[in-house]
Amino acid sequence: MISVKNLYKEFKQDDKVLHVLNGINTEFKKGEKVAIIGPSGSGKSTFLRCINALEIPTSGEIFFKGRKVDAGSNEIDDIRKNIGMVFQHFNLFPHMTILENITFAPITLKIYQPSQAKELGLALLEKVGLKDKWNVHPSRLSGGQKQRVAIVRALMMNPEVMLFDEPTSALDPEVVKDVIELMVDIAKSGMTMIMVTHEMNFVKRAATRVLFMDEGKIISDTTPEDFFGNCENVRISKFLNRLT
Amino acid sequence: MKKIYKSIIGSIIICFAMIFTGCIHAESSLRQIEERGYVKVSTNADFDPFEYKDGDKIIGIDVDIARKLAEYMGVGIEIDDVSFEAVILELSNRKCDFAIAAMSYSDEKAQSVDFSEPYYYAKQAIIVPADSNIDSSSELADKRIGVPLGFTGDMYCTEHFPNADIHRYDTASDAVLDLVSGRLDAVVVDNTPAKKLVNISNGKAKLLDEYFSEESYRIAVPKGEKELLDKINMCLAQMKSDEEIDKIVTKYVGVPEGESVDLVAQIYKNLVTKDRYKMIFSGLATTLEITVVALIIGLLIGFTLALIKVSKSKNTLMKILKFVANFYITIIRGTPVVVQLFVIYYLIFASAGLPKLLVAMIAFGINSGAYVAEIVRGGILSVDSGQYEAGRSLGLSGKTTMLKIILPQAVKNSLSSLTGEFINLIKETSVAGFIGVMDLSRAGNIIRSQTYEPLVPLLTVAVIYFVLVAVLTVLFSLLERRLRSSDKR
Repeated sequence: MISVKNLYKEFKQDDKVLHVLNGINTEFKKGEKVAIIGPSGSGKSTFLRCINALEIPTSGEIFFKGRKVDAGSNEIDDIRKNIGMVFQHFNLFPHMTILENITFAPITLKIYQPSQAKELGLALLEKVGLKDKWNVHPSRLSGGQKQRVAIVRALMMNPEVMLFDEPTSALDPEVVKDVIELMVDIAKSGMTMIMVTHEMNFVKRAATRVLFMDEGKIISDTTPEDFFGNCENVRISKFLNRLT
Repeated sequence: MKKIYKSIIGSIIICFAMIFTGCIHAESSLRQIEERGYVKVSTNADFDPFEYKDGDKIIGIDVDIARKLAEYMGVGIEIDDVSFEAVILELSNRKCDFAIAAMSYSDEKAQSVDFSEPYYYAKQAIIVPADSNIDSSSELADKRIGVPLGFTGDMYCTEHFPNADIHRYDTASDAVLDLVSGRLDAVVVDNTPAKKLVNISNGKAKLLDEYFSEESYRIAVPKGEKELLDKINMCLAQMKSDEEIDKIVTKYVGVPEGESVDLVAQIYKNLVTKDRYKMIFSGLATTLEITVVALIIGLLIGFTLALIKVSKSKNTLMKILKFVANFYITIIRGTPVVVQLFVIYYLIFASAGLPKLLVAMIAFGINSGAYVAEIVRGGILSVDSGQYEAGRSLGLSGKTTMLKIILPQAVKNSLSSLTGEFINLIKETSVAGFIGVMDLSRAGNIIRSQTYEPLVPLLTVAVIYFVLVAVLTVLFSLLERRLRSSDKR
């Protein structure tokens, strides 16, 4: 579904050039739930953001169902419609109510009629336990509630794949569970998911594949069982030890 | 006698305007006047008793002479009030057929306009406090002398009393006010206004029985209009022999309103007498009209420029637009609004024939646009970049994301700065008087120059501005609170 070829990304900082991505090559298949993990600064988020062109790679290509993902092309908005994105800091629209937040894009892009969008939106909000909040603004919600709304916002577009960029990192520990449960439900529904996360329990429960990144490269690409059983790789075991 | 210059700005603009509008007239003015059926006359209604405003009417010796002259020429008349430096400019631009503004001949002015035969002879009088020991001009050499800026009195004293402490005022009445309050030893001004000023001072000032620097007042016509000039000279000669001019002068000199004894009387005289409050109201209406229209123009320009400046597009058209936007903002923010007003009125719309009020609205709108642009741009940049990413990641176009997601938040973030700009705009429109628009400030100034009592007109104008600003501040803070509270609903 998504193929990544020879991805490089450099940032210029003052006089230094930071090599964030150093040649990423991989494929994501329909229905896969891929967890990308690795130490901070390893390039996980940058890689994820390249997939829907929020980040423009220095060189290399990404194809979504055979179409090139290029921030400058006319097709990019259409491609992005099919790639849902959930951010670490939710990025809900503060000037809109919850219902407006989740229905604005599908209505604007004519995916649903306004009445349909509203109906579906309320149904999804009910599913995540936030139906009574439909008419409030995001500032009234807790972090966990905001992230669930953000996930619903992405779901409303009927995406073929969803990207999660550290969706629980900005949350208080007691609400992480709610968001994880929701993501597990989505995983069960068959959605293709690519997620950057530090939640190893979630990875064990939901992921079908684990990419371990360090210094801008994928250094391990395995099943979760192999990943957590594999302590031969020094960097991986060091990383996992630090987490526990 | 009247001023050769009022400001350096004025002179520079005159020079520019003459370069730009040197030679564009086909038909002779006289023929045009006859076809039109009325004559267009410019004056500077700020020189009581020759030309000044009563309510919103322009009256005075010169004005009556011009009316009589039109009568002799057999045509109607339309009189326009402009700033003094603009009088010559309007002639050069042929916005008027002739100008009558207590002007005396000078070689300098004669380069840009032609002068008629004299219709009035003026001389300089010396006004001193009633209890002053000064009794001749020879004692003025080291004294504090007040003069109206750029008038004959100014030029004479500057030349003849190099050691004197010369104070230059915008109007003669301001100078006499300072004389009476002890800040000056003498005021040198034309004898006709001097008589009136002394009358009004109610015994606090007196005229010395000595005059100097006699000169003649003439009508100015555009350069090279010989036919028109001959006609004017002919009619003036006829008026003189009919003693029409003497009659007019007598009518205007020596009709003082008397000094107000207390504050109530001052308020009555400055606001009620001759329906002067109407002038304040019409000035206020003009100020509001200019402000509101300028604000709308400013918001349109400002938002457009801000969006251009934050655009991430890299195509050539956008690069050009960005350059233009930056140029515009830098120029407008780097020059005073008065200069912009002059440039727009005298250069850009010099020959467009737009009403002054409209020109003022456009000028202030253009000025405000640059400030609004920077405020809105700041507001846009203050919105978290995650908002843009969230919008785009949903498949919304850059344009939709900007207009529907970013801009509403940007407006809310910059609302208090926009309020500040609006309030500034209201106050800045007070310079509209420079091109002769009668706004609130100018209404106050005109009343002051008629009553010679500054307290009530100045305070009235100040209080009205203050109330306007206070009301707007309250309204905007209510709006802001509403917008903020909607976030927390």
